[in-house]
Amino acid sequence: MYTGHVAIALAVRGVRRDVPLWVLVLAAQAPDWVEVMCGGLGTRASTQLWSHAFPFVLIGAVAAAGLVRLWTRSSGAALVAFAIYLSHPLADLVTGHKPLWLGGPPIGLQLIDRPVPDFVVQSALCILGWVFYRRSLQPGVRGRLIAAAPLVMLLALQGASDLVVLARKPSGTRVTAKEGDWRLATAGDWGLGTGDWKPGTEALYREDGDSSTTCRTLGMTRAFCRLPPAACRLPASRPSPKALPRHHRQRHERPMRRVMHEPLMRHDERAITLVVAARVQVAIVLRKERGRHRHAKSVARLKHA
Amino acid sequence: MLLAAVMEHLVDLARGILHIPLSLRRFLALGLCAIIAIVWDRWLRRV
Repeated sequence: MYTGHVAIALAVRGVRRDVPLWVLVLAAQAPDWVEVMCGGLGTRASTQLWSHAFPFVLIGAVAAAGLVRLWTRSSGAALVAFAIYLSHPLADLVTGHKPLWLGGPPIGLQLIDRPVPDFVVQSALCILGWVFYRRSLQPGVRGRLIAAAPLVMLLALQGASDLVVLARKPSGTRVTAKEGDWRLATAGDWGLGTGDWKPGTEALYREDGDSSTTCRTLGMTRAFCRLPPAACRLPASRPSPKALPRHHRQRHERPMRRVMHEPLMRHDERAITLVVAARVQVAIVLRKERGRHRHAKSVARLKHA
Repeated sequence: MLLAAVMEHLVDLARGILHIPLSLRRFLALGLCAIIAIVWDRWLRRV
């Protein structure tokens, strides 16, 4: 959710006039700011866990409430900050698709992938928030057209955000990524491993922004898996991709930098979404599917990868 | 016709925005949203 969080802050401002709007807005957006900062620090692999999942979000809410309590000396204001902070991951259930708790599956309606419904929902929330907020203005200002300007700006921002999603990937279409859009995993990213290094087994990730992540598996049996950075290392038997001259690599031979050391959690499913905490899903290509009813099995440490 | 042309320009603009790195884009989007709400609120209370 984007402007919806600000709309929640506006609505609360209409009810609690003793708390400045900037405090409410910051509390409402705080998990996103944490995510942006974590991403900037290079911990992309778990940014959504740190920022949006329990219990971390609870820690953040308590910290925010504590700061507000110290500053305003009002327990009520602190409670408001706490509640607004916690409203963030809950509101994201409507538009997002991320784990709500540590180790949990990603959940949410993921409306953010569908620009039109997303715009409708978030705009409705903005209008509702503004209606409440308007009550906090002086009577002389309420009736003026300029009082609606923040609402118009928020709607414009939301429209721009959804337009970017629309331009990026029209709803209902298959992603056709250009080669330049795909990246290899780097330290801290969601890693990926391949069953072998033969052509056709590459699996690259692509950041798609706020929601979807794309993988390509080229007809392989696949599973999604979180790969902790600690579990990554370069295979000793192969030279680093950086060490290879660029022209030595054909497109289909793009080597993988990271290898999955740990087996998949379950071996009785062909496709498992374990955790999708970052904005990235990564395909772990296990092997070619040899039979119709054959399942991808657990991969032993270092044996397959 | 005019709407289609406008939409086309807007989509072009959105594609341009996509060239901004994701982290910077998110930072700008969050900041812009917050600043608009906060500044406008302060201004409305002074009017």
